[in-house]
Amino acid sequence: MTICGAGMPLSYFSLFGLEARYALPPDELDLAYRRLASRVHPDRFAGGTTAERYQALELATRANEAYRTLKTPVLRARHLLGLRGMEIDHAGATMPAAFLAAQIEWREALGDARAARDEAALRRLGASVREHAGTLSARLGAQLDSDADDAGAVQSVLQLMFIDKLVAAIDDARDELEA
Amino acid sequence: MALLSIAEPGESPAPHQHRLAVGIDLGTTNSLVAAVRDGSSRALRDEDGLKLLPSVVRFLPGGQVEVGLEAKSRQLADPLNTIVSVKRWMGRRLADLSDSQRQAYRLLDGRGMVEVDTAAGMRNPVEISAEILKTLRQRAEQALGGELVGAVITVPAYFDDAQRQATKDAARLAGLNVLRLLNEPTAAAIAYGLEHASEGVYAVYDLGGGTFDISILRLSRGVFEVLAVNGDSALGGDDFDQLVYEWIVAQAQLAALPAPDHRLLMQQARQAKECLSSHQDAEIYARMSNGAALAFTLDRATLEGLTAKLIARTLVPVRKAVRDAGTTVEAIQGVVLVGGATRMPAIRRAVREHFQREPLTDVDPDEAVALGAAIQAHALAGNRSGAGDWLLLDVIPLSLGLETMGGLTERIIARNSTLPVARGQDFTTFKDGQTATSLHVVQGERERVADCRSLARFELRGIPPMAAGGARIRVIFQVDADGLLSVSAREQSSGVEARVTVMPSFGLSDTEIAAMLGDSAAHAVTDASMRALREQMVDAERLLESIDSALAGDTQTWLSGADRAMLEAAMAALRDELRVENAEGIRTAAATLNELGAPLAARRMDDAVRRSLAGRQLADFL
Repeated sequence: MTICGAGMPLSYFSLFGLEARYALPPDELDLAYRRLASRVHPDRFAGGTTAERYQALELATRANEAYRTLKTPVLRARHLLGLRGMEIDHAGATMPAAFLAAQIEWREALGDARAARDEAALRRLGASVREHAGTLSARLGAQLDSDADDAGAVQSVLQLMFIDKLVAAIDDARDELEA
Repeated sequence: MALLSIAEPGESPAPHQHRLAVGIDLGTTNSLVAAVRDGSSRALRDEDGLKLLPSVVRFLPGGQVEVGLEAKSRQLADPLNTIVSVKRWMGRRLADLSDSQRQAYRLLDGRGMVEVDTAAGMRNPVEISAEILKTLRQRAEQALGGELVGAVITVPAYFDDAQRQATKDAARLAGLNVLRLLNEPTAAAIAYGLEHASEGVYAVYDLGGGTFDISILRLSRGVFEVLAVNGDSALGGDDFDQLVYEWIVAQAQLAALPAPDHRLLMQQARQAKECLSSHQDAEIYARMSNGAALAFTLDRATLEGLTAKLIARTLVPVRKAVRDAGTTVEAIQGVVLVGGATRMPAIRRAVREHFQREPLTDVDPDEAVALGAAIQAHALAGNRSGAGDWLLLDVIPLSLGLETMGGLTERIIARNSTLPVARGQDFTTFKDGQTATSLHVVQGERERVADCRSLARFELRGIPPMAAGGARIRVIFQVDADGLLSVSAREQSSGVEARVTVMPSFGLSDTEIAAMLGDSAAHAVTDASMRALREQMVDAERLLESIDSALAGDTQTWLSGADRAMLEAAMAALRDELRVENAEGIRTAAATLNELGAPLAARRMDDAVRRSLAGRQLADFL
């Protein structure tokens, strides 16, 4: 059975022997990753032939990339959509006005907390944004796994991407304050 | 692990001799060498029964060198030629060093990094560190009774590429084959985790003489998975000494001091700090070169007041690492303390308060790093692990990126990505008809290129002229399990390609290493080539062993008679070259055999994947 030979995108889920679903028990993924990494890590072939070491490098690199993709909700959803032939188009995307308004509000709150060097405000903002990400992620799970609403899922992924960027910016601001 | 590549883990098809390998903790203050013997990792002692080798090197006129206690005992009499804490200079230029470090020696900017003017001439940090490593290598060869196959050398997790490269160069200069540079906190975690059969998420808080590291790891069924590292490669116990020294100078209202007085007071400062870990007060007494005597009492509360800001500084990377690991302080099951400086009660208190739990101190903070390194060296040299089957999944400590327009960094590989890792990014041209582009590879977390460390520059030429934005240049960064970066760039429409294996601008080339070896002793070059030949022979024998045992299985279904005959001919050719010990012949014959043996390797790897996942072919995933 060849997956990529048929022109189909490569499934990271099948690399780990997992069902291609958004709702992925993290323990199962961790276990499958560690099992594969234990087999193919280049250190297992430290004294092997050049060809073995090269192949181990390729395969371990692939396993790490697959693990990172499936572990990160946005990347996992994008990968799942990719397997179904759906691409995320950043440039052509339109976002609902309410979401954009919320974004602007959060960004302003971030700017204020940063200017005031208010650690507690940053923490509160981080918590509320993360809570919103949780809600979005649950919606995404339903859209992908049960409702077969791929178009809706694309919209949710785009929103989650915005939120991830915001979370990173809040973390950066906290780093800055601490330094 | 030559044979593990063929056999199931835990099963060795052919008995082979124990390959001598050591772990070396090349520390700022003290260094150690350890090895696995009779299944357990132990620090090796010198003739006097001592394990710790002070990382002090003294250069005498005429080129004679003293290392360790002997050098340390002479540092007051001969401060300018007696180098302490050389690790803080590795891969660093004068501008990177603190004023106090600059004023203690005759330092200049040399080739790529600082150099110090000594009675034996100019010496750079690589050469000075090599003296420490040479001493440890001799100690190990004496204790183990044979020549070393290689060594795992530890470095602070937060060392950048330049500092790592300098460490590697020092080892090569000392005649050591580097099996791996291993991060210090990871090494400590291996020693601790294997000994205690720990499971769960652990933090390692490692405050050494010159560096601070924090690592968060997940230990699970023999897999050590580093989740995040962070740190400060210019913060260590030395900085606590410096603050005590400044306190003494302020108390005594001293002006600029001559070098011997400076060194004397630094020594007094260190002793006082160490004394205060077990006492409430420390007496400081010093007779200066002008005859004046100083006497003070420093109490623990004053020391803690002086150094509180340093301790607070360690908690910044701690918070970042916990966040990067995607975990919380509450989810961490244990905090292991490593490094001599963690003996300070104030540090233990700060760690306890931050992690809300008693830190684990049942590992010797001085030895844990070397012991863990020895365990990994033992495995990487191809020996069966005494501690059972285990694997380390390490991460890249600092982000890697490219310079883009306006002096900004485009991050390609984020810090804390698990190794090995490869990632690509597409770029384009910004001028009409542009036929070349220059790529600047940088390391660091800052947005501006000027604030990151420059690793390499290379050019992609021969791009067909197109309108601005027309070319599609894909740049791929690959970092292998050793943390070595190679970068390739390819213009997609024309297929024009360029690649570079990154060696920092101040990394030493093989020729330079050979020249330095030549400088230090005329016969060292022959030594080095003998060593190279022996390493080649070991490699060739492993290759033969591994192919032999692959052919021993059932090969008829997938290996044709002709292919098999060809393999056997290539093996015979390699055995002939081995018999006459012809280095060049061995190299060529081994390369041929490696090439012919490639299908066997694919077959092995397929088997490995199949065992982990029934019914898949390797080709499905590559």
